[in-house]
Amino acid sequence: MKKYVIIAGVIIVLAVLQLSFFPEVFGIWYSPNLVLALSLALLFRDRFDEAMFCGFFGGLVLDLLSFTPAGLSALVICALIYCVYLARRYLFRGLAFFSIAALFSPAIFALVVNLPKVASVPSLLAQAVVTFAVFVVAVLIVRASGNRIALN
Amino acid sequence: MKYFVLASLILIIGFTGVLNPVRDLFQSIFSPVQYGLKMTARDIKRSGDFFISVDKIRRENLELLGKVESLSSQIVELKSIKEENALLRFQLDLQTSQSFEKDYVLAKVLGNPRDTTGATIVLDRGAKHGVAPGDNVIVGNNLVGVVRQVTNGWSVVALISAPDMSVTVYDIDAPARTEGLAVGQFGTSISMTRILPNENIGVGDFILTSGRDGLFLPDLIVGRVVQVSRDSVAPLKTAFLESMIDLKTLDKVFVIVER
Repeated sequence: MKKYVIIAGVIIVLAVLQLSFFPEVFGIWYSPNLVLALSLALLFRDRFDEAMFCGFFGGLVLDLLSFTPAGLSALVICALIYCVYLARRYLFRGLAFFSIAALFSPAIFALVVNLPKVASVPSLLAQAVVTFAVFVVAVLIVRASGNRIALN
Repeated sequence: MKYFVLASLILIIGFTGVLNPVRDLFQSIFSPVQYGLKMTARDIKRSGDFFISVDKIRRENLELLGKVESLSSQIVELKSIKEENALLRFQLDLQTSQSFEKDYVLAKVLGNPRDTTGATIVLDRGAKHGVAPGDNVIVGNNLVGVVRQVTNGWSVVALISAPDMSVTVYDIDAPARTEGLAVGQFGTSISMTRILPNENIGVGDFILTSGRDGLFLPDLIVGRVVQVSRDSVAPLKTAFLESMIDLKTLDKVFVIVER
């Protein structure tokens, strides 16, 4: 239970930063999707349940703090996490697949959530690359703090 | 799987408007935090930009000093015109057109990072402050955009540079007041279209709203002409405008609401 409270707290901070701080510093195109990056990082460390909770709660916070329909981001992130999880479990086990999935997931997310407005391909790719970089950092942080969180 | 079901349920329930109070509560709690973070980020970025472009700023400063001198002399001229204008108004018993039917609501800009097209911004003022869809948003006398969507505490504004935005405008500096349609260009710039080949329009001219579309109040500044297309094949001319305000770094704006 305690670990979910910790994840929820972290997610709220990340969602607020994602919506307010990073777009101002780096511009909308180069602003990372922190919620998705953390969800993918948790999945990468084989924490499916935590990843799904992170995606659900983070998506919900993102929706409530913006004008997207409540639940849409949560549903899209959960769907992405679940698809990556299934593909990793039954089809592709290598690091290469997960890297590609982590790279393209932010672009798919941005594309679906922004419909019917379609953002330009360079903007989607830029956001995807920046999010991938954050994902790598998040994996390292989750690995470093992993044992402590797992015990809770 | 439970998260799928929960998210789907929330999505369906959300369309009924049941979750609006929750959203309002969330937004009212986090609005100050978001605004504070946004301002902090902007300060950090400005500090970085300043150190990167010190030389450019020094040159701009020298240019601006020259402009200040010329503008000071213009102010003196305008003061005498203002006095004359007041006298004429008194004589004609005129009232300013907007003074008795409109109010201004000051709103903080929260940005809208979820819109990757950069065509909209979110304001921290909504229906409970009197803001309604269709209200014009301005800074000074410069048009920023129009309110498209409103919740109790927040509102979404489509910027004049939005691709789906069109405003009827006229060239105040042209002798015959050339009219046209200002259209947003991919969220980054504005173009003035539907200008007849024989109509006058020049670089540096100020373009104002005409109010003929019934959506925008008249005489709000849309921008200044920076380029005019001279394609001899095209039946109509197009002018490219530059807004007098930086739409990307807006901090506070005014929403013109019905009194």
